[in-house]
Amino acid sequence: MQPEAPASVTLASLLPGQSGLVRDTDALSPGDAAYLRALGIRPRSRVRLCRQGGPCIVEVGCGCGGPCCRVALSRHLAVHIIVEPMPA
Amino acid sequence: MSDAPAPTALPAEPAREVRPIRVAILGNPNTGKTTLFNRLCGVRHKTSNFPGTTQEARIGFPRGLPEGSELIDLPGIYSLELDQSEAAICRDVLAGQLAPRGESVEAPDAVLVVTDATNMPRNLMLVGEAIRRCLPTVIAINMVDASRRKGIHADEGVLTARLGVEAVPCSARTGEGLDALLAALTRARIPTESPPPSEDGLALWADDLYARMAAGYDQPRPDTFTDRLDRAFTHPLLGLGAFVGVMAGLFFVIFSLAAYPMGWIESIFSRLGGLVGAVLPPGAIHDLVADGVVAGIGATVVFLPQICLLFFLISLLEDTGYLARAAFVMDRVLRPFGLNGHAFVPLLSSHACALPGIIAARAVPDRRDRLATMLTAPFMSCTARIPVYVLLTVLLFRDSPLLQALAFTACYALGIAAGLLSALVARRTILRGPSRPMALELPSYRLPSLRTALLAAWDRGLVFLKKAGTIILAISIVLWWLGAYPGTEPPPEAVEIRERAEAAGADADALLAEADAIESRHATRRSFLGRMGEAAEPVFRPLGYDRQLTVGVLASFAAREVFVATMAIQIAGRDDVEESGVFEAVATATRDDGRTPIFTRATCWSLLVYYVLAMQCLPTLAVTAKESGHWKWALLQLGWMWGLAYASALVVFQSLRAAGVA
Repeated sequence: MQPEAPASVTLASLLPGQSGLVRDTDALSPGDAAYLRALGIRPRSRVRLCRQGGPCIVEVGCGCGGPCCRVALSRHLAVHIIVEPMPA
Repeated sequence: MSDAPAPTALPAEPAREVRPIRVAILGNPNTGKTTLFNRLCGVRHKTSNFPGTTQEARIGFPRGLPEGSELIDLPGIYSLELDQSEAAICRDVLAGQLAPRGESVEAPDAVLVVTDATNMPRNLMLVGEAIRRCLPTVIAINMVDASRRKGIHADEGVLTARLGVEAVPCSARTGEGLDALLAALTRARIPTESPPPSEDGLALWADDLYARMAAGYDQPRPDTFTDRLDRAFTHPLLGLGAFVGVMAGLFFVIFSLAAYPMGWIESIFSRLGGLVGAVLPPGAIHDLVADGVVAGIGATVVFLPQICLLFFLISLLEDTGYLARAAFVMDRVLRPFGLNGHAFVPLLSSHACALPGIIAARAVPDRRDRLATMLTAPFMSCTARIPVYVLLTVLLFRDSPLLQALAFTACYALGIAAGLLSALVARRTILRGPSRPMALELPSYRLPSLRTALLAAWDRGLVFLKKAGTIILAISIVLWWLGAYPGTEPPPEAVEIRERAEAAGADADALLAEADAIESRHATRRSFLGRMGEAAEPVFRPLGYDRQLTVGVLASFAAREVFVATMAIQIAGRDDVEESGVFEAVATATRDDGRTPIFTRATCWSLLVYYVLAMQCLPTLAVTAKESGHWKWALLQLGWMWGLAYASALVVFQSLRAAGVA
């Protein structure tokens, strides 16, 4: 039997301190998705929610697990980014 | 094994040496690009703009490169492929289709990609986009001092070996590695590898490249320092408290420290005026130079210390990383009014002067957000309003400094409220549409660079003097001419006093001063400006203003601070309202009927509201037209602010009069 795929949630619904792997940003407008990609938020990148709210603060580390940068994101963007929660 | 797509191999090219060379500096925001430019060029740079845009361009002439070499500081961008004006400028410059105004349009001889050693994975995306251009390239791995402190290690040799271009570790803050960087620029090479063309391919390529750079090193330590500070600075309540504290400190420093150089400047120009008076014979040339040119330049330069200090402190705050947190905190406050956190710095700057505030609105990424910010900025109470606020609040509450301070604060609050409501109206009508959602990098906290802050103050000071100074000077000359011409014969009353003065001999000084004051009032009344005041009086009468106040309002149309001096000249024959006796004369001055006071309580409140809200600043209009790209926005700003000021002052005056407040 195949193991069940981890449930996907929106970035906005992560708990403070919880990490996730970005699955897709398809619900965003192409312009917003391109801007977030340039900021490092793109499929397969690892994110950690530092502060909930609108705007929220997200720590963005790239797929390679290197150093992170912090990005303030409006709630409008955070609810359109789908992530797979990662175990602590 | 890496799953990154195979890179496209490029033919190797021998090192190219071009002397002198033009280097374009490209980089993400917050990579220390400006600090690096300042370190390499210092004050050996000029400021221009890119044709057809309002984007500022700095061209530097660094020591250490062949004579005549140039560094072009491109706008900070996250990606060359974004649909943003800054990215388009960078693309066009690298393609040889755009150059700063006054420079020949050709591709740069080399590209210097500035990266942040503490954030290499993301920065490598821009490196990949840059080397796709196949231009001779050098990569500066900046902030290596900070990366060492954070325990971040990566092998830059991997970049050089893999891409065929030199990657130089350096620190613009300490100067480490900068000689090697300049040497590398003289032998910049075309890359031997290009990332895959797709965006996904580029991301995998960057991840793979960083993984190779970091292979064999430990994972970096978590940045607990930033974590702890952010917990306070971005907290909904603590963050707002910290913001208020920081801003209060900023204004306290600006107003307290700037007072000294402002006093010196006033003293210098006062002496200069006296010198002109002594050297030039009486006549039109004397009056033009003393009252038009010297007074006009003095009135402009006196605000220079505040402008320089404001940008010095803002640069320090920006460098520490706090300003991004302040924008974050203010986003919650501004968003209900159709603005966002990016508008915070322009609105803050506008409390010193609307000109730098409107120029600072360039940092607002979305066009509609930017225009709304520009239309809002002049409502913030600038320093030019202060003399008017001081005069009117003291007239209203002669014996109560506490009530004066409260009225003063209320003026600031009214300006902010009117600005925010105007932004809301604009965003729901002429600037309708969604506001760009906030996505703002919060850089790591670090010690600010004093050199960068000093150069920012220097640059902004020069821009202020060049742009505002020339406009205000021209306006001052026109106003002087309108106020001085046509010349009139002295009134009989003054002639009679002078005859009595001659007969009085040694005791003539007081009589001569009285004659001067009468002649000055008469000349002002008969001047073109005085006649315009008479003609316009019916327009301002419903607000409680008589002929003399109307002249004051008209004379200060170009610059608000002129109001106080104009009223003092009309009433007392002298423009120094703080001089003993002159303030009393202003407070007790009467209208032409000789009985009704000019400054009643209702009139003072009406004037206060008018000066908080009215667009009485021609340089602001000129800068709005330039920055927005069209005069229609400046005219809209003028019409809206003037209409709002007129209507509000009308309501205030008529309500107070109806309530029996004289």
